[in-house]
Amino acid sequence: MLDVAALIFSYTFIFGSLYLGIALGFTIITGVLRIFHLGYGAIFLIAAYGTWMFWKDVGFGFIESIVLSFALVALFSFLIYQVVIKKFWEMEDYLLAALIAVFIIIEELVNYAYPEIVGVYLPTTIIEGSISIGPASIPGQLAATSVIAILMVICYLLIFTKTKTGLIMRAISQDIFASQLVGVNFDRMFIVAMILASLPPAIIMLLIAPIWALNPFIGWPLFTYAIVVSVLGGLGNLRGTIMASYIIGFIHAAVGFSLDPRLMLLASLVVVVAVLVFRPEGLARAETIW
Amino acid sequence: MKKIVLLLAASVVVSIALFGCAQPAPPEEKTPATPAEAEKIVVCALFDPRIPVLKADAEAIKMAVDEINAQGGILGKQVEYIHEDTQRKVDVAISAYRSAVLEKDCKIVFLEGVSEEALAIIEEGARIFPTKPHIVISSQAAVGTTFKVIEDYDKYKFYFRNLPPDPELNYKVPKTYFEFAKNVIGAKKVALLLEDAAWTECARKGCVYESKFGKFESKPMREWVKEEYGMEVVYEANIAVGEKNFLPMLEEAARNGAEYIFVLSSWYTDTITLSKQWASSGAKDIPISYFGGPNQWAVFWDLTGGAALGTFTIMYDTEDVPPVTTKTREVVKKLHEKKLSVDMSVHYYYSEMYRVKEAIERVGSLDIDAIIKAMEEMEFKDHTALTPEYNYFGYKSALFHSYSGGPVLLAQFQCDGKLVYITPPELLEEAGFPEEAISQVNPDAYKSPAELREMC
Repeated sequence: MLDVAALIFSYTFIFGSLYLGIALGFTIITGVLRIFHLGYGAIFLIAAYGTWMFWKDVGFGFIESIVLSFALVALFSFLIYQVVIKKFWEMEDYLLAALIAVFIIIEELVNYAYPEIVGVYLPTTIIEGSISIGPASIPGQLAATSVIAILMVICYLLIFTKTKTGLIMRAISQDIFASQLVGVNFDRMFIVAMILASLPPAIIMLLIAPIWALNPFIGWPLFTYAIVVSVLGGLGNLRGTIMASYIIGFIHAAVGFSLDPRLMLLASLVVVVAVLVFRPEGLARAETIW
Repeated sequence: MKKIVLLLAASVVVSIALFGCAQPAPPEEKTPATPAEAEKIVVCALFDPRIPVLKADAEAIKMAVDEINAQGGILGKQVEYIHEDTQRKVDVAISAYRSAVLEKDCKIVFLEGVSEEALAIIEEGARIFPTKPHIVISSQAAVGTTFKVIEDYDKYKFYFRNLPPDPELNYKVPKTYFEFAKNVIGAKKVALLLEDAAWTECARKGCVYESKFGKFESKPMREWVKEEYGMEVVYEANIAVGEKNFLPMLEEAARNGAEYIFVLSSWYTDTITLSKQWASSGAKDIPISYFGGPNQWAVFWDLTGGAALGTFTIMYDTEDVPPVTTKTREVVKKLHEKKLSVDMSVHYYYSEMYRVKEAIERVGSLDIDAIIKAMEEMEFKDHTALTPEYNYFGYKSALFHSYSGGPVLLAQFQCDGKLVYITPPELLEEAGFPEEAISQVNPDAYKSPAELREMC
């Protein structure tokens, strides 16, 4: 019994932190830009396959390739904003269609250039093997990913609460029209927010590469986690996303270790729907991102 | 953003619009066929080329067609190969199938091994077969199609399965694994991770079928593993299609003292992620083996970044594979040259094209009824992965129009991804494998994952 409790406790932290890292960027976009970014999943693909492309096809060193792939992710986010989001800002349905189309285009391009059989693999292991915490055993790489996810959240919180840019973003998040009235260049802030939001999924993608399969369709399951967590937390609210991540993490760990792993996703979706019935705005919907 | 439901609905609509637009174009007006065209035998392959294994299946059929044409065709007629994309969707597959048979006059239709598509196509085929006789061959596993052929032969006789059906596939084939686990690994406690899909129903729950050929009963895997091998199933879990989080299963298998983990997987189980998580979990010292999926490719080693070290799997993808026929290695080599990997199904589809050729040549015409009869009765010796007993179609049993299950070639990933064939030779001997193949397997070459990690 103690074994199971230790496993549930450890994996609540591991899964929760992982989901937090996956959903962090999505929360920033929904919080600041107030859009539902259906192209978010493409960022995972660009980070992973961009690194591979620069490393194996272009011939850069591995670290340089990671840096370049982050630059590519930032460029992608900039272009998405300039070409799609800005253009369809007032037309929500077109915006959604265009964003998902971009995601599918990226997915198809990746599948064309690097089908699964190419054997894409990124050696981004930080901690090999497993770590024992009492009777529980945790993959070292997942533990490292969890710690980095938490550090990222702390960094972003500091940006949002301690920097002028962060304060402006929160102001936009709270009331875009009032922000405009006081002279905020929201266009520039949106670009900054898009680029900032693209980094956490890129980092998480590279960190989980040693423990998740890399294939051209990896964007969807990761995007699904981001949506589930963000919706439960209250779209665009970082407090809610943190709470929701660990609640989903707990559900997955508890169901996985004490009931049936087959029911993990089902159980979390049932809980999300149940919460939304009573709190349609999510756990912590607020008028601002923090 | 406030209307989440509306947004999600919109995304679904967009997805449907994007994918749905790719329906086959309406039939073009056809000009009368020239005498040369009329002489062709049209073979259609209905596969989604986005999925590497399905692309390889289709390419293998095409390769067989090209070889046959280079040898003068069938009965002096050239074989025309047509590929139709199914997008792995039932509606698109049906549309592609109708187009293939009704408009392109396909006599032989190869269909990707997706049970849902096969179950729909067998019904559609029953409607069009009387006016457009043809043959359908698919490597799906759910047993329902077999019973349709058995129970209403005249209606469904056009359908063949180049794979054993569920009870057979998930009993006779895994026996190779459990023989190995018991006698070589020495495992007494086993964990079963079973893909939760239509094709594994008998393995998960057991099943009983009544048919014209008698009653067929299959116990759940957990029961026959205990009864026949004396191994205690200490942990069992079903794997959801698309699952990415295997850690609870692996940790529970370890916590319950499993000494061997058997994974009943197909292409819908992400064995790459499973291997990566196994290698860094508390279960990493427990030998683990896989059934279907990308693990059947040699490139699995690269895909897992070497996390596959110590895992073992069905394997027919190396150019030094123990040869079932003289063509076995040649096929692998040729497909590797095309940058394709070769799982079992690739051998199956390639070989079936040659069976069709042989059946047509025996009949001497394109009389489909006679060709079906010939395919049921003939002993086909040129299968590149199976001995004749296991690819026979005419069983008067639940295997009617299907392969039967038997021993398979198992290989373990060792240092630097080197594949070592470890099937116990006596099993291959019983199954009628040629001496050359038997001499190339060596169960003693197996090493535990811990040993390999230390060595490599």
